[in-house]
Amino acid sequence: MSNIETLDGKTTQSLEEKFAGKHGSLAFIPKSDVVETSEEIKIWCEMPGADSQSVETVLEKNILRISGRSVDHQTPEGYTLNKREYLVGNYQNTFVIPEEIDRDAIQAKVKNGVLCVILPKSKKLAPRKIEVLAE
Amino acid sequence: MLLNRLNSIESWDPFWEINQLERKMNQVFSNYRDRNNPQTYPPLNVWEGDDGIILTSELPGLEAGDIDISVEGDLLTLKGVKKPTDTGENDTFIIRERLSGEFSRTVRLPYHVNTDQIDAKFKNGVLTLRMNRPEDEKPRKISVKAE
Repeated sequence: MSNIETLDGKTTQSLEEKFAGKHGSLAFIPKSDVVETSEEIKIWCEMPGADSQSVETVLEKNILRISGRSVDHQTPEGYTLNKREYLVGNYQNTFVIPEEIDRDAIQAKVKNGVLCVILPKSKKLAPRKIEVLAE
Repeated sequence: MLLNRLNSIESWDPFWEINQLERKMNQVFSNYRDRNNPQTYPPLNVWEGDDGIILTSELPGLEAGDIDISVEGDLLTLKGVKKPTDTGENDTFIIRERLSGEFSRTVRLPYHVNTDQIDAKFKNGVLTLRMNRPEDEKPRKISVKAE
């Protein structure tokens, strides 16, 4: 029971918020997992508050750009902020995709605030066994 | 806060100002707590109003059923298990930043909330808890009569 925290201590505008006010909106780099197999590259990005409408994924040449926005996080009317441990804002990140991707087969979905992008590798570049013919 | 100040006037403590300064400094730095610290996971935002408290928390990747919320007296506990990314057995991670594992966090609310009327909602990885302040916990205005 020693690590019970109290919710006192009014939090005033944080440094990040002040910075954001001066320099436009803040963008967070979402925590990500990236996995590669022989068939595909899979990327997961944590974007709490974002839904499928507010998330965008764009693959341009070999650069995958993901962006998102946390929806409905307005301050409740008649309430004042007492404690702030996380900021709400936009999410943005880019990944360099090392291999040729089958662009028509890319899948992206958002579930419980986590974006999952599946990038299947192009079959054209898959290792191919070459038959050796006897003469 | 006000009570502390009144006490300190009654019995003046020379270290009070120093302690107060230390507390303020700690408050400033506590705003920048590491999100990865298991002691302070999940991160919370708390709003207070006349009718109650609204608490939000970012729990991306969890399902509504994975979160265990309990209120006992003025103590609120959020418990759960964050599952690791669901990958194949032979998949190798190129980047691994998402955390997983069990968490439990207890916070003391400013008053005993009405436990029958707690509204919990989980949407897009964000938990929103609305807790009502019981009538007898609400501040009461005392009218001063002129004699």
